[in-house]
Amino acid sequence: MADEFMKGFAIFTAGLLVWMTFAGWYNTESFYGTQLVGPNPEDPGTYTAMALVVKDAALYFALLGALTFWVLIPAGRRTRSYYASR
Amino acid sequence: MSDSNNEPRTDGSGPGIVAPDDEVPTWRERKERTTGLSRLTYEYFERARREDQDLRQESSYVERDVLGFPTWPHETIRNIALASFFTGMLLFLAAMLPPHLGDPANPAETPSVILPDWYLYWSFGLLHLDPLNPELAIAGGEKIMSDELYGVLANVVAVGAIAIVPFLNKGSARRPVEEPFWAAVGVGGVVFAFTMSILPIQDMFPWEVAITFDLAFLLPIVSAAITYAVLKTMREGYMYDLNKRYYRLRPPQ
Amino acid sequence: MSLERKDEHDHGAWLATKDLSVIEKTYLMTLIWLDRRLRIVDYLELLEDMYYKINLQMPKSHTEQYNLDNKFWYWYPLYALGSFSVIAYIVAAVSGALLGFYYAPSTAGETPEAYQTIVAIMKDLNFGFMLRSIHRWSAQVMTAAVFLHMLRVYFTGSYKEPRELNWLIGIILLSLTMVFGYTGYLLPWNQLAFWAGQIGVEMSLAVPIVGEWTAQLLFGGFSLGQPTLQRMYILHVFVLPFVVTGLIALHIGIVWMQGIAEPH
Repeated sequence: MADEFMKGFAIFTAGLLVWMTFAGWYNTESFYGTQLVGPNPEDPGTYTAMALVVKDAALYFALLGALTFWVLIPAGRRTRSYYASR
Repeated sequence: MSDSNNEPRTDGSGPGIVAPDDEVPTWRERKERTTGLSRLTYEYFERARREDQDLRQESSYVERDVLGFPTWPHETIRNIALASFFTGMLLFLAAMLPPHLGDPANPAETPSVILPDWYLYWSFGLLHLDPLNPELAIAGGEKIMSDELYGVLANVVAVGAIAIVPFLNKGSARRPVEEPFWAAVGVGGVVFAFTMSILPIQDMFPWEVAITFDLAFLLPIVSAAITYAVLKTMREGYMYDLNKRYYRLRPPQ
Repeated sequence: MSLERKDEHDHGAWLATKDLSVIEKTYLMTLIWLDRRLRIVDYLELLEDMYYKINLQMPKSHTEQYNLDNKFWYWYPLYALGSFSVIAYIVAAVSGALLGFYYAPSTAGETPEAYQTIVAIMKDLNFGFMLRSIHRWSAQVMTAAVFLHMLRVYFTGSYKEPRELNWLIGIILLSLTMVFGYTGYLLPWNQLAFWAGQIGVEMSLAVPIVGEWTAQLLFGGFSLGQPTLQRMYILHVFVLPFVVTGLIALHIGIVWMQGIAEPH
């Protein structure tokens, strides 16, 4: 179980690091304003649009990766061993 | 050569230097002759040495739980490798997210946001605990201590509580599953630190202060209870694995 | 005893009897020349001795010894948090020393001098913006690593019996890290710094009996000004570095002596 936890943890931190970088660039109005979760910039250029896609992808990667390794895979193993023992 | 025999020579030979013979006390004998504190120190060290030797001669010493595994070489090399990688991430962050520098200090104008760095939020949150400061009727309805002192004391209590942990919890259990209670205390403490950190920045959240305040004390208890229940449930299976894989090699004390 | 050289110590003659290549000869002559003056042979012996002591018996790693199916590997990052905070501390020390060349702890002027020097570091100095960024982020990261390190130690029970002392030293180090961060936070002398300092003064004034004395000692008075900044600066660049470095050395020394607590 330990390895699953750590895999999920690695994915979680790495994904959030990438997300935080782009969110700090594009979704932070000012220090006193909304940080990291502000609105997307209006009329983004090509690179900004790509970065926004990467940002969302990193967020989903972090959350779904953690969910998979912390919940789905252990639960699946449990169910399988439960049905195998019956 | 005979007339120069009485002078010390450059090669270190000559009179005045007495080679140790059987009369000269050894280092050990010197130490045995001491008195007072140094004598006590010597006696204790002798006892400790004898204890070590006895334990080593007992066959059980080899299988006994050793206290730790060596820092060198595996741990050091692995740590340096991982820490270098982390340093890369640090430089990445420094390059990507520059620091903020606000307006210069102005004593005449109180800003809307007064905050320390994020890692002091919990401490700052403890300073906001004044609604809990008990009022005593004896003191004529006045608070027995000021709200600020109460906050400072809360900080002292928090740090003190962490400090006494190793004096309360002893034994060779290492994993959280082996001691669900202490794991639950730890999780409760961590959640409490987070809820306390929310108190000073509570304007950023859309709900009322009272709710934050209640959650600050409810959430740690709830999460501690959940941790306790989960670990207690997992315990049997986990200990079975542990016994199979690990404790067979090294029985716990 | 004569000062004449004995034959067996005549290294030149010994060298002449040998049939050596130019490289070997140059090497030996340099070695002999240095050794005659510095007696490096003694130090080489020490080094050799150390080398064999270290490498005589390469212990099995924990995972190998107990056949943990390589699963323990995944926990390694959490076990490296202590080293990581040390490395972040070193990075902060180096970048901080460089920043110290350009910073002046002075509140003089309409816009405080300290604030101006920081602006100059960020805008005029080559690499200055990055330097400040590195210093700030390494401080943030060190604090985070120290907190997480404490959690790791707590949840793996590593603070238990023979290690109480190191747990206490760790708590002192954690507090000092936060004091380090706090004093550094005040140095730019911007609005955030000023009002964070105000909270500090109020906190120390709230303590009975020693409160006023503490405020005088740490903040140089009951209202903030030049003495405050000066004290924070001295604490940040002179007092705390020595104390924290010493405590870190002690902390690591004890870990080295006691070994790393087994998690299983």
